[in-house]
Amino acid sequence: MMQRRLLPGWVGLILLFVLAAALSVAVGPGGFSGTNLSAVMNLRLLRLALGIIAGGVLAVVGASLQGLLRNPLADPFTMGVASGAALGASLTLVLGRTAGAFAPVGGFAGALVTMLVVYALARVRGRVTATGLVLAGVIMSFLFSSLVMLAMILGRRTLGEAVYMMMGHLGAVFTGTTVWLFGVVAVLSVAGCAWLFSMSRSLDIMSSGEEAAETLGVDTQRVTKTVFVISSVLVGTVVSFTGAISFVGLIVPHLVRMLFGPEHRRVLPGSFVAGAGILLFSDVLARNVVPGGLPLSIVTALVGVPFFIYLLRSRL
Amino acid sequence: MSRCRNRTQTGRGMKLSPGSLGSRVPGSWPEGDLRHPRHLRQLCTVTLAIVILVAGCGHRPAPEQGLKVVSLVPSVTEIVYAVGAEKMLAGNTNQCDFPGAAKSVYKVGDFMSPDLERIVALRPGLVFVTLPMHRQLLEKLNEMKIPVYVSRPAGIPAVLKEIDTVAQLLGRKASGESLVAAMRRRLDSIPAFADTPRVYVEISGTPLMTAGGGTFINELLAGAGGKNVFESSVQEYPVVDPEAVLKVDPEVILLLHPDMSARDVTSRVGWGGIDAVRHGRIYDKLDEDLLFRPGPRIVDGVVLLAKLLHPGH
Repeated sequence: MMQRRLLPGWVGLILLFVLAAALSVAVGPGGFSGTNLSAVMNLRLLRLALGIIAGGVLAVVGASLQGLLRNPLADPFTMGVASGAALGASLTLVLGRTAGAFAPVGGFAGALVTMLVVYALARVRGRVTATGLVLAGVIMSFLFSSLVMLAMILGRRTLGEAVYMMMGHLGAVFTGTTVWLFGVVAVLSVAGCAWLFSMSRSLDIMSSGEEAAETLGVDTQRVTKTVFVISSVLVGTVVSFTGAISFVGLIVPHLVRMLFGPEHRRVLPGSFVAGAGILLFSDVLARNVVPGGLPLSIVTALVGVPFFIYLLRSRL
Repeated sequence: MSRCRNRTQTGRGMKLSPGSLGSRVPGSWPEGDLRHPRHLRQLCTVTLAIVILVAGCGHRPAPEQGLKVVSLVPSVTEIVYAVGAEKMLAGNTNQCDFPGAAKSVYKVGDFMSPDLERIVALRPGLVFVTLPMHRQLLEKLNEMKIPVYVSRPAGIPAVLKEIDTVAQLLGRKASGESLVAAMRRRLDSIPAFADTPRVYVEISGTPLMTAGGGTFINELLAGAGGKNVFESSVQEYPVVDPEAVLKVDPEVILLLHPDMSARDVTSRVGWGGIDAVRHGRIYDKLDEDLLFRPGPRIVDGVVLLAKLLHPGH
């Protein structure tokens, strides 16, 4: 049964991805004519790369966290990690550290601190419950969103900057230095996703229960720590370029599990491709429907919320 | 003399407290503490001391001395000082920082969120507000029958008219007229330019944001002989796609945010072909207040822009 659906599933995901990528290269406010075609293409290809990395990373991290924590609602956004990263990146912005590696490092630090705080808050008498985790994550997410706003106001920044930091966008303008920095982040992201993929077996066992995993010889402490640190690095550095994008990390893994079943060796690569495709598609809508463009999370939420409600009604 | 003036201002700030006690504005600032008899006694002593100090300064009562005004608009605060009516200014906001003396005036809160109770406690005869920022506050002030002047000049002529009006309201008609005449002379000294370069104004770098057609800086650009490339935007301060800037190909870029220097913009990927980048016409570290505040210094802003846009003249 599962095997039969595997091939059409992959074909579907890859088609979605290729279509979204083609659209995001072909359509944009700069138009396709004129003498500046190569310059426009430079911008679009960079945007494409940013979209692939951001969508892929958010979905893979979402899938890993859901498996690790046995929680269908876990993702970089609901766990507050994306908002924590946004706060870290905002602080570097407000403190005038826009150049160099400050923003990605700030984003990583914010993400890691959030992950640890949320996990500690959710751990009651040695047990981490699904509701506890999401509650703690949502609370921290609210807190960090407010703190992003506060930092932006105290730093005399515009409201637009705060909104785009909290709701995400792919409109980052790269300079000679930041494009190299993004290259490093992209390589790191792919490596991180590959590392998570290499832990598929442990994640499979962990998702069937922590005690069962220990009897099967999985070092649950080590796996948890590793996944947390990798997730923080990936989400933190990506968010420092794009701001916090919601719903991609939450919904894409569920979609892929419906196609491929729960095994992480299929869910993780599938999530990367589907996440990248859906994010690129959302970006095409966000930048072309309204003049000037929309924050990405508006589009991802419009798509994501109905799906989320369906999930809530049918699976939980 | 200037020390005396400072003391008078502090005096106003202190005297306001017993006033607010009398009017019983609920929850008005240190009211709770002040009800304590010991505090009241101290306050009386301080007030008495200040009254004596003020008297000692030998102020002659001006004809408009009765009028107390509160300015919630930094540009109007500048007008009040420019027409020499600063003695009437009982309160302003944290953003009112020009001229330097405006910083030591009693603060009623932030420009974005002034405190209604502090304003009311000052018992002002006139409050200067702006829209859309102070819409809710304006309604409340109307309910309380406190006179309000709404400042919302749309262009340079409107600023000149507003200076006239504000000067008249403050009983400084002559000062207003001479200030406006001086400003007009400087504006007239700007020649009519043959060319109107396309200008991209950047007010944020992450994401890129610019100023649209309805904004004050748009009018300033026009006055300085330039054309805002995003004039057609319906939003006041829209986010722009990096690609869209390539499409409009500006001849001059003005950076009105601290994130990036002209050099950073030069090194932006894909921007090398933009006219302004090729000719090195990117200007950073400009005095933003000259360009965003529709007050007396606006002439300096126009002259500054005219010099940047037309370096040959």
